[in-house]
Amino acid sequence: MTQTRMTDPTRAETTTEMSPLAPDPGALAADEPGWLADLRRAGLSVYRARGLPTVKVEAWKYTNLAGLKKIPFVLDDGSLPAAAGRGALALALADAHEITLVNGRPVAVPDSLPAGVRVVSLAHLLETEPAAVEPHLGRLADLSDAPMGSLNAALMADGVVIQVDAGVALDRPLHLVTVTAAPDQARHMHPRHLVILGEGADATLVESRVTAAGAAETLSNAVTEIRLEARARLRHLRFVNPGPDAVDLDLTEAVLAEQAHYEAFGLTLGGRLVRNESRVRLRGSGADARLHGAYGLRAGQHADTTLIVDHAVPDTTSDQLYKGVVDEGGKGVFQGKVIVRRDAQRSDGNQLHKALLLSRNAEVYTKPELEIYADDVKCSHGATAGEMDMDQLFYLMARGLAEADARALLVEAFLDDVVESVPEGPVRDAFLSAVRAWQAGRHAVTWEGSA
Amino acid sequence: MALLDIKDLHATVEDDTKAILKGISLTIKPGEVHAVMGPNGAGKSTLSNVIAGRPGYTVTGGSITYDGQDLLAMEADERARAGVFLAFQYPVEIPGVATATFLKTALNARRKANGEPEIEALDFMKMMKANAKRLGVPDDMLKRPVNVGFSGGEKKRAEVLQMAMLEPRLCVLDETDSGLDIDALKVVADGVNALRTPERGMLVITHYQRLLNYIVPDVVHVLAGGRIVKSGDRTLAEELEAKGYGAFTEATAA
Repeated sequence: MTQTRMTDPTRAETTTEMSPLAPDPGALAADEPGWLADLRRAGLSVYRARGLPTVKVEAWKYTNLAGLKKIPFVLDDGSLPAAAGRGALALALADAHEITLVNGRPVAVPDSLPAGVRVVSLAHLLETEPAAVEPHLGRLADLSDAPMGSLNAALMADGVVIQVDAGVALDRPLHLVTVTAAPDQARHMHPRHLVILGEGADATLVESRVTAAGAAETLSNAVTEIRLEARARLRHLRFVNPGPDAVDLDLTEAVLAEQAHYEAFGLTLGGRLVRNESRVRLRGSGADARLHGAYGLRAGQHADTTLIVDHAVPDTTSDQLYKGVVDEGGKGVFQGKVIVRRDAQRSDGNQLHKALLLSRNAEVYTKPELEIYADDVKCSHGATAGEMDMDQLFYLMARGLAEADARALLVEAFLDDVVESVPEGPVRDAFLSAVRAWQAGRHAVTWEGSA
Repeated sequence: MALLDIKDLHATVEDDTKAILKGISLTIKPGEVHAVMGPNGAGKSTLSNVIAGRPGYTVTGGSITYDGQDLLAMEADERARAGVFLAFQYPVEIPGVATATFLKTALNARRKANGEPEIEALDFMKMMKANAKRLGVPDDMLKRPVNVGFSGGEKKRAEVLQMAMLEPRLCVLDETDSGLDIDALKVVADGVNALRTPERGMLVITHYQRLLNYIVPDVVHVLAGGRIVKSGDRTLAEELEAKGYGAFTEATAA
């Protein structure tokens, strides 16, 4: 927060009060295929019509982006060298195919990938093989009600395209290390990713979202479109740990064919303002989505988890489970929606959010929504928010743990309980270590601060 | 020297002036097992909670001396590290903490307080497996989170397993028999009996005489209306069983 902020007066003039960050329609890339230009124009028109979402918009009721207007962001132009670095705060996964992105642009891709697996830069593909992208890009996600997602469509420059052919099982996880960097002045960027798994394909995609040291404010406004063909299985494990001056908005839309499985887990520990929005469309019978996650927030942090699961056909299942720990001054938001369409009989949808508030001025807002139009369904939802359980605390102390250690253990345990829904292995271990490190840091800050 | 010396103990539940304990005195010497029996509402759980240092109670008079130290001046965790162990009537579930991890953390907290190094991982595993085997605690239970999804019998066995691992000087068993069928009761009682040593004292709190057929006490106290109305040897428990609490509580009322 101590960086010198340089303002660009010409840039500031083009920023309207209602929809800052938006370019003039004439400024959109000119030498692109018609369908892409249409996509950008449509995105821009939605964003211009709706503007930067305010708390008056239901979907953004608890997450206020108004503060973004005050920051003199410039659009990232891809000029930053790859040397912006991997980011020490990324998950340490030795055995993974690692792809590094700086401000949404791939700078390092794996040397060798198994046959049937392709990981390429979106910008590169749009230039060399636009026909490969056209059937998917902007077709999976319906962004007409999403102003920030629409802005992404208007401004997207790069990202990764991941394709796994039918029947191919990836040997090791793909690890996207996405670094935001703004050494000179505040930057905004709009990464766009596509993940396509063919019939019966199987992959684990890990993301670490981090910030390079010494960055000014960054605004990352990413959209990821995922298509899982029949019987495909994707484990999508995300570690959202950007720096204290980072605004990290992410919208992921996944479309599942019959018996496809989408198992997502998000761990959010960093960032000033984070929104993870996932929309999952269960379009084939037997499709199953698991949206689990955990977050830990300290002073000055705001994290919003917005989930929508759409049971569009009969015999589909979904499970939303999130747990959050909010310390002094932090603010957590959980909006979970389950839609069951008229024909989607025998849908099974569960939702649970639990928050642990560690101090009086910690805040959490929960908005569960069930929209059920079918009659033969099993749906449940639950939400709790409370302080530490005094019976648990006494039980640990009665076994000899000092109060501070007992509290620390209970905070870790609260989050570990859901982190353990990640399949056993290095990623789960890395998540558990991250939770421990976060707790240790929180502990030090809290206890030193109160001393 | 007495291991535990309770003198004229008076206590209330916090924010309430109503006395629950109205002058309790008892002395446990090393190697002794004392039973406290009493009807519902006699103050049995208050006594065990006050000894363990549970928040929510106010001691309004008297003293508790443990191994020469003023127990009431110590926090719950200090008491535990000094060797006081409360086996809970209702063991608490702790999702997210594996039983084995919890045992190790508790054991190391105790060792650290005694100026000992942390236990070697291998030694810990050996010790835990040996104790678990003796108590019929399956390996799978050690991997599960503390008390989560355990049956009533499993929870009580897990309490005795913790007791065996932490090797306390004073064991307070708060209605350890509640909710146990006869087979589970025997397993738990065998586990407790295995911990009887000339150095260790026990306070066994129970509503029923049944448990005392398996854990045979040296001294039996009858607690009623916040007071010990009678003390005697093990035959007192049998007398209680035959006559019921009424005979004793009426005697106090008179």
